Amino acid sequence: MMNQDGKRPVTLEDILRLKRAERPPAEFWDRFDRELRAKQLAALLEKRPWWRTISMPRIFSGVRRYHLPLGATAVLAVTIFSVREYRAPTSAQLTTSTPDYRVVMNVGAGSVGNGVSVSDRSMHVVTPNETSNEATLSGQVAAAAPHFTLSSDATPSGGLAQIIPLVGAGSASVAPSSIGAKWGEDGFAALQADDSSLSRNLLNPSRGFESRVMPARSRPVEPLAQMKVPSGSRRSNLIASATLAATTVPLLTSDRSARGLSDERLYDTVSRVNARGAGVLVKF
Amino acid sequence: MDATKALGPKTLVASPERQLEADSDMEIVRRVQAGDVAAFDRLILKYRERVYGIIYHMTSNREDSADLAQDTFIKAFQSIRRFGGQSSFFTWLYRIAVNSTLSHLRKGRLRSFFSLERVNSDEPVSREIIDALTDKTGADRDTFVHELQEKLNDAMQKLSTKHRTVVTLFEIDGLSHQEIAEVMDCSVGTVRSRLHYAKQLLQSELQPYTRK
Repeated sequence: MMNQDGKRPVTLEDILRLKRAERPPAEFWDRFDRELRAKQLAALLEKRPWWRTISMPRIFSGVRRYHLPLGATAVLAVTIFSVREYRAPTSAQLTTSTPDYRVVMNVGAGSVGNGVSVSDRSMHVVTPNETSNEATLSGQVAAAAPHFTLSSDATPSGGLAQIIPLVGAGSASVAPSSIGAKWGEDGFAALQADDSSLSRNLLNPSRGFESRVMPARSRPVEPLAQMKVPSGSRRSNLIASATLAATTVPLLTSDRSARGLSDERLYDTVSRVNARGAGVLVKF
Repeated sequence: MDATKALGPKTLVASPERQLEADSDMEIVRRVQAGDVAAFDRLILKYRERVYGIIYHMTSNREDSADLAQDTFIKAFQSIRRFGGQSSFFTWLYRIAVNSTLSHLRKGRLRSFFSLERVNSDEPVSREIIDALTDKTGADRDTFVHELQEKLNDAMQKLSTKHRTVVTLFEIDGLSHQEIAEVMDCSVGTVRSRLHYAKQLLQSELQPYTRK
């Protein structure tokens, strides 16, 4: 059918059909075949990953598109299960008939029981009079360490009862806040369940359990008391630099000797001492 | 022996000609799966121009199209053992080609400039269309054809990749809606919808060249 100009109408489909005429010349296919052959050989020689060599049964071919969501769901489920499994209990309250004592046990960098080592720990028996002090004492370490509070309103029983005399208290409200704390709780539970003679022997105060497991606490030292007098420190540095090559006397000794010198004598001494190589020259 | 039974599950193809073609392809595929690697060359020879054409019309760049077409055949060769005949071989091959191209277009790895093939204006169909569009002859005619070609490719590139794919497969390569739905892994309704939208946009872009 022709239009007014005597020409056939041209539709969008006609114009799109023109694209079919966009074809590469014959020599293009020679190069195409050569390159394809090279790639095919390279693909044959290339070692395929092992998971691509596994031929999945046909039953799984339909779910291939769901691999990503299925995998993500599985990971999420495992995560939720793990978190629920290892989530610490809120608290385990035990009652006691002797509400006179509270035990605060601070455990640092580790936990009690199951052979897990504890590098820093302290245990403190708090009497009712010391209630206000307890908060201060435990607060010193609690910032960096898991905190176990054995409160007074618990009933000792089994193996745990053998710990109680050590600390002179009635027992424990355990509020662990981490997996490590849960291990600590498990350790106590294991001790509680274990009634063997071994644990009795280990926990007997006469065998020195307390001293072996918990080293004696040193008295806290005032921070200002730990600081050296500036002049003493300067003397120590001067003596050390002057006698470094010549003497094997510990620095502490030099420090001690420097404390007894006045500044004038000290500088005088330093100017007389001259270390050269392996020898020392002292002027009098 | 009945050929359909021998080929396993019936393939989803539109016409009896396509079914015959699919059966023939499946025979070759079986040979390749049995270890006759050289038989794959027949499939390459048969489909290389069509695969290249799809990719070229989607990218409008001949160098990229050549690379992607080669990659398509390599992927098909590597995966042919897993091809079970649920669809026809050419649908499966087209799916590889389209997915590879879409993936590359998404990543923006392809060259952004046109690298077009020359329009063969000596073909009867194209000559008839060009005659209807212009009275020019000689060099002017060639210039007009080149301008039209650039305008056409420009309009195609303005479409989204999925719309462009549908237009390419339907209008240029001549696949049915059902076959396009298989290749693109979507419903026939989606194919029709995309095609309608894409043609509307192309119509507005190419209006100066259409003649009622």
